Amino acid sequence: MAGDLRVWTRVYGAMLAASVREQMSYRGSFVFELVGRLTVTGLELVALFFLFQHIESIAGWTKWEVVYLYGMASICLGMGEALTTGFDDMPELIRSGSFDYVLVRPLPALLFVLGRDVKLRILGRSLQGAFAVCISVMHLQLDWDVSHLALLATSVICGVTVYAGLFVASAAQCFWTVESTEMFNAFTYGGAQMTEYPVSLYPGWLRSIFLYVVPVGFVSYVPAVALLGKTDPLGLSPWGVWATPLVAGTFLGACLFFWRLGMRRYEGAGG
Amino acid sequence: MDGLSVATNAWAHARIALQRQLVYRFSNWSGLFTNCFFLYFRAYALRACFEHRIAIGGLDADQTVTYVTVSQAFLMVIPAWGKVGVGDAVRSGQIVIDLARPVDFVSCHLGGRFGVSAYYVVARALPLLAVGALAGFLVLPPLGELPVFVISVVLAAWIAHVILLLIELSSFWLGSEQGVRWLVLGFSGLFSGLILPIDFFPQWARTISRFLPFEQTLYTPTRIWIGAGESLWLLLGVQLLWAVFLTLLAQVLFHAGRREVLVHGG
Repeated sequence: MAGDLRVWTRVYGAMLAASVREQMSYRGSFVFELVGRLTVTGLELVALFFLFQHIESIAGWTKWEVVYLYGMASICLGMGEALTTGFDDMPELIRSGSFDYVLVRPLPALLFVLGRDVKLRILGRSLQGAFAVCISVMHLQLDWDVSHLALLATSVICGVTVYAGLFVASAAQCFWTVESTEMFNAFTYGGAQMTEYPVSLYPGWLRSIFLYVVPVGFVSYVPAVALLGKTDPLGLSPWGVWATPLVAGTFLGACLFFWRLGMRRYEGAGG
Repeated sequence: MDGLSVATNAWAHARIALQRQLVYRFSNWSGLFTNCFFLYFRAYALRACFEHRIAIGGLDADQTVTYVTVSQAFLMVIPAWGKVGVGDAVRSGQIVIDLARPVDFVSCHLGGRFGVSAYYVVARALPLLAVGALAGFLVLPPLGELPVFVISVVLAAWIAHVILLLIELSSFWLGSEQGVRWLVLGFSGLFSGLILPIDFFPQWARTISRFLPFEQTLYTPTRIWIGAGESLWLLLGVQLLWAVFLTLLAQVLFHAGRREVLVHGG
């Protein structure tokens, strides 16, 4: 098992490197799309600044605190998305039967599809998110020590885990529907949209979905409350911080289980 | 070619596009599901901004949530995003078949896109307006203004589809339109008023917006729904001017672009 793991890591690494090399050979289009994507997310931030010219706070969170939330959502969504672009043509793989080729590789199918294609240009969103987090932390003048930085890193890892899990689940869904659907966008892009603001401002039913079922809200809100020293009307705060990695891990596990179920359903294309 | 046959062709394309859309039923349900979530997120977040004040940028809380509902409802009717296949056709060489057809390319293309929009009026816009109304996020406009709203939506869809076409026509020169697509998406997200009502913008940004076509897509019809301060006919006139101007631009680019086409193979 440990040996397998080492081989898999090496193969995944090699595939990743090949994917990066390939993108760098089309440098013009790479740069163009990266700039374009940066504009999309950059102007989202501009809209946030426009809004905060009229108001001081939203649900008790100030401008820079919301910018922090926005930045974290962008980092996690962006990295989750970039890691899982190999799944983008899942419907095509299943419809055409090319998924058969994936299954005969001496590598778990999930890992192979993951490593097939990693689009760096999608990292634009994360870059811009990292910028937003940096300026917000500077403006908030937080008294942070090493433990805070560790929590920040944990928060990013948990966020990326949840989003990556969602993208895997969204690809797994194709085993049933064949066509790709927008349904999971409600949780991925929708989740990032929602957690741009503190989840406490949403009504209970909506909040509960994003805290406990698809924990995009949980991994965003709970660490942010602790890091920015906010009071939490939802009472999740002290215990929730410790539970965050557990929540993210459990969710990823559930998504991987869903993928397995889907694989069992796959029948291949004739022959 | 006379105007009548252009119109007949465009109409035929619209009908076929509509029929094609009807096949993807599950896809529409999941899209509707996702749209609902976005509607709730934006509406609750913007409503929370009115905790300590009555109006922002001249809009009150009810107008603002109505703005969110209407703009989300018509997002697919007046699309800012979408592959329309022209770029792919240019890359694959398939475009020569379109060039060989004795019909006007731009009007047939737009006809087809209008078919897609018509489908989304029924499949997306009306259900979302109902969802918004049930959630208390919708105030109806005065009945007399509804026809103006409808005309404005038609013009807005026209402009939106021409913009999408223009993006893909750039592939005649650039090879790939992907960068342009993202750049335009960035600007249209902000300046179509999708992310935030343009009324909330500072004055300088509103001035920039006036000179861009994006305001004429989602924003203008939505603003008419919640009660535009200005003369309605003036708003429609501006939309019409943009629609005509951009369509002519598309015609010019298309005819210039066809000279750039390099077809591989025999």
